[in-house]
Amino acid sequence: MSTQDGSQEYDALVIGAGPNGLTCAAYLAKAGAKVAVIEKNVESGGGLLTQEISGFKLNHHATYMMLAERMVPYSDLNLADRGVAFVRPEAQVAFLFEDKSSFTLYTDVKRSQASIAKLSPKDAEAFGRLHDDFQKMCDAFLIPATYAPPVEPIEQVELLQNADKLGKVIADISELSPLEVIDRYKFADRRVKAGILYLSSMFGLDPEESGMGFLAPIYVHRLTQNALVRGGSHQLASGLRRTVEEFGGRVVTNSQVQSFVMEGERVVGVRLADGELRARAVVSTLNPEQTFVTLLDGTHAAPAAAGGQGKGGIVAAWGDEIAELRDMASEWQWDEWSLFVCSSGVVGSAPKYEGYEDEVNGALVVVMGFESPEDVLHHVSELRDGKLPDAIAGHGSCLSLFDSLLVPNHVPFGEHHVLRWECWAPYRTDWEARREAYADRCMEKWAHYAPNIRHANVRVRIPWSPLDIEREIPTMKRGAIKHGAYVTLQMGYNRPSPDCSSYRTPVKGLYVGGASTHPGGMVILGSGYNAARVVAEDLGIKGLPGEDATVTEARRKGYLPKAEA
Amino acid sequence: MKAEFDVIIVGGGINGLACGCYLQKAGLEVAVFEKRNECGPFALTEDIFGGGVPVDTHAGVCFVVMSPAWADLELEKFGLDLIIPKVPAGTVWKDGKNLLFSTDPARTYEAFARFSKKDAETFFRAAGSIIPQAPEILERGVFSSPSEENLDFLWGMGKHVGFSPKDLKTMNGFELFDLMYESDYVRMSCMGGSAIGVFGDPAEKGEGVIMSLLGFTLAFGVPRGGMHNLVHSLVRCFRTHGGSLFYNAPVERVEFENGTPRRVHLNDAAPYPTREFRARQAVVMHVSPPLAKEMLGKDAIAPKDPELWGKMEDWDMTGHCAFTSYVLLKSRPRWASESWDPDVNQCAFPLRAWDSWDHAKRSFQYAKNEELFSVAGDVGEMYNLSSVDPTRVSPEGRTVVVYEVEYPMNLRRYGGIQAWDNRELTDRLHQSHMDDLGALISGFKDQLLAHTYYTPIDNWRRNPSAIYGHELGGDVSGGQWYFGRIPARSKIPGLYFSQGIWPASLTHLGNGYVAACSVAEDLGVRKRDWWTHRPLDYFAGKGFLTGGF
Repeated sequence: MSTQDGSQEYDALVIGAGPNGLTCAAYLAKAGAKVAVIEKNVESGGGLLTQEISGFKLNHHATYMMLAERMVPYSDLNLADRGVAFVRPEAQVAFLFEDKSSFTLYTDVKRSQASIAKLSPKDAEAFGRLHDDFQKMCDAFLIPATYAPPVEPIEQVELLQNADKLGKVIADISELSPLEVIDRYKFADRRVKAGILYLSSMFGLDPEESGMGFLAPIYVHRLTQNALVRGGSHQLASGLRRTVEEFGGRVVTNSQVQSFVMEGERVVGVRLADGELRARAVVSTLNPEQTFVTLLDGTHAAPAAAGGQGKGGIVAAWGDEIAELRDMASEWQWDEWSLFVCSSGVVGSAPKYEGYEDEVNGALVVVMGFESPEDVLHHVSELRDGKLPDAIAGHGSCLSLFDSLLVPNHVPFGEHHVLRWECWAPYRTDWEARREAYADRCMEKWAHYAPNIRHANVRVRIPWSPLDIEREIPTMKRGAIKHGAYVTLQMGYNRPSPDCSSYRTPVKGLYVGGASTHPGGMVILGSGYNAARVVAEDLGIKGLPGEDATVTEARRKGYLPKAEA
Repeated sequence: MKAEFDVIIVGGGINGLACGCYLQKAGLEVAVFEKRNECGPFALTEDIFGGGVPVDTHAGVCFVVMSPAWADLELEKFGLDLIIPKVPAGTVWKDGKNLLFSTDPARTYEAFARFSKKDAETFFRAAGSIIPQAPEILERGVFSSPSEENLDFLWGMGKHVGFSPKDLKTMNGFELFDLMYESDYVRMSCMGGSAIGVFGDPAEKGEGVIMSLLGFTLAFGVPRGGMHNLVHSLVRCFRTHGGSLFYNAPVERVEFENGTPRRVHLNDAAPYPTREFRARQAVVMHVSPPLAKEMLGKDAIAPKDPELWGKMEDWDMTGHCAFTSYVLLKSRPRWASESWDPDVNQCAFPLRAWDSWDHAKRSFQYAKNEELFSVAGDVGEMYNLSSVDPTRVSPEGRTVVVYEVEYPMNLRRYGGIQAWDNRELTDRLHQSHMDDLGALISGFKDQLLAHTYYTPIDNWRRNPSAIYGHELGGDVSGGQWYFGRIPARSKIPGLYFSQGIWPASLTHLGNGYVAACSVAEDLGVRKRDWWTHRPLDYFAGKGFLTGGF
């Protein structure tokens, strides 16, 4: 039914109904453009995926929303009116250690410091400094830069160096690795340092990767401001989709784009199994390999009679550019490791961490198994080698403590909870055979700290390995949760390549706007936002909201170029 | 956001949605409020084993082929692709026999005749007499509100099998099949179909026979890709016609103005900035009667319609319930009875129906006495949908067989209904199901990769309306049969019901249809050329229901 009803001529077609695709389409539709989003899966949402089983709502993938209400599209698109709400627990992250010591980070820095002070008063002070520094960097530049197109690296460093003192600091730390940035604060207690290091690398960032230092403030800061989407992560995708549809856009699910439709050197549409859709602009939110190899190859192979170029057509037309795009895509570096998640719906009490201070029982994220910074680094080195870690370490969350919509709260028999275990895991093809046993080990590790969860009546348990991520969300090849590693050559202006990081590509009519463009993954909606603005400019679509005030302020302070490029 | 509509429907089950589709398509502005993330809590498809096999964890076959809604709402256009199995149903026994119903009547005749030639002829005479009248029977018996005239028509069905209306009123399903057939296998097979049915208790006088005779008019398809596509098609239909759908929108109360329901309030769990919505013309309650009672409140109902209030207060949410076991198999199952009739491997919906006719009678009595372990696995429905739908096979060739067994819901001997959460007890029941499957499926132990089960409380967990896990919004027998049901059109102007009414909820969308008819007639909007199909019309038009009978 995808190509059947209605007109087939659009202003813009967006490939992929993940968070960025829906954001891009929502902005364009709201500005009056005729838009359709094409999604391969039955449901929209991509990584924003909540499966309800037996009344338990399980987020198999994205869960911790690090920007939440601070995402510019949240206010621009009035997502609050469309049922998108966030829950932000005060106690954010607790770290548990074998000797029964612990510390907890809160949204309120003073409370965090009080908790750290029990382990090391000196580190409490260091954390205060780190928190203040990181918050300033995030507010002034790092978050605003999310909602602006990336700037060429040399120019960006120059801007920061020539701005104010804060700009210089940001420029300096950008050269470093996350580990080096954290080292600057000289944490004395191994436990505190282990905790901060885990936060900085919680979503697959390599703590020893140089040039990624600017991500440490973002990750650490955001991970003390985590929020859940009320009712499950998918509510954010639903709210975006409702916006697209309310403004007349279409979301076509269960429909896979097979290739582009070309006219001369221009992409003028996409080909689906049952026909073509045509548009003035096509925005791909897929990964570089899918966009520049699979879809361009499909286009290349389509017979001329079917509206394709015929064999050799595209390459003959602009051989060098296409060849470069293909090279870039085939050399694309995937995230080095991924996540293993085990969600369960249980009847029983919430995890009670026996022998630990009571404050940890109320924390959103409870980190277990990292006793020292060396543990974190060792764990990472095992992952780099593709090994399953010797010792399980990761974090658990009892999400239902914070959002009663996640459980069947109408059933009076017993307490219902959703438990989510998450840890780093390598991509392996043998996950199919290992998944259940590994989930058992993870849950046993959790029960080592919270023995009461052993007695729960487990009604639903779904483990998700990196292989499942790839199967369910094919843009995340090898379980790449960010659509590609965060390394210098794949960040900002280089993401996915200098040719395409403006969201325009060398192929006329073709744009990119997924997590493989600046600012990347993690459900911050920046790529979709930025791509929509570029497409609107090229198509002469007026009526998008003005630039966000925080971005304008960053320009005024000289952190970003004076006028929008 | 828009906060005023012509009609508000409380509850996004498939029948609430179907009602919404009809009314929205007829030109009204309709909003549906659903408590969950998604609509259709009992028409769902879940990958419960995480192995790439879509599993219909509750409703497994789709009776919408019987319904006017299939064509009226153009559900095919909205993505509902129904596969009509060549061997839709049948019964399998542990002694290696089976009795299969095929869409080819000659094959069905042959299957019956192997047990008794006389029974084959009786069955064919009855079917030959009933099936040509099936559209009218369904129109009056299922797709209409109860009336004396319609009930008389139903009692008149006895003529097809040689009984007077008076006979029918005083006999039950056991007597009917005792008298109709001579083979116990034929009796068990027919009674098994009635036992899992939803139009009354087959062991009760009167209703038991109606239940059994309506069985002749049942037809179904298998939604390609999973039952959730029924929900998707209804959602698409509703939205395409401009309907507003609110997920995660639990309704706390319905408020009245001048005696009619006008305002619907969501509770604080709803993440919308507006919590109050207005209904200009009607509110349809698509929640089970005990929930409707809470939302409506005594003050609004009891003085105006004491009978309705009394029914809601006394509503019985017990009766029988479903306990479902799921097994993940290495490949498509082969049934132990394939040497009797190999077509069993193509059967989408085989039943397990006791081991003997005496066993059937005893088992019904045990069930009424709530003797749980005496009835474990006695009668149930199995879904082997990979036999007809290639999408139910994983890339590695794995398949899932679903075994849904009927049990008495009350567990007073075991400490009450919450004993359905007692793992020790439910593990034992599940084990007895596994033993049944082991006896019915060849090489079961070698085939088995994983297994799990859902209890009635799990059903309640997924469907707030299904209190205790009752699948039909409450018992459909005795005092809650036919005239004993909640009326679709209440005496209170503007207040309608689509759950707890006649017919019971099923994937034929009959109760959504009946509720929509009542609202549309009252509001004068049923003057549309599309709202015209009769039950089974469209199905017959596709070439089914034609040959042989």
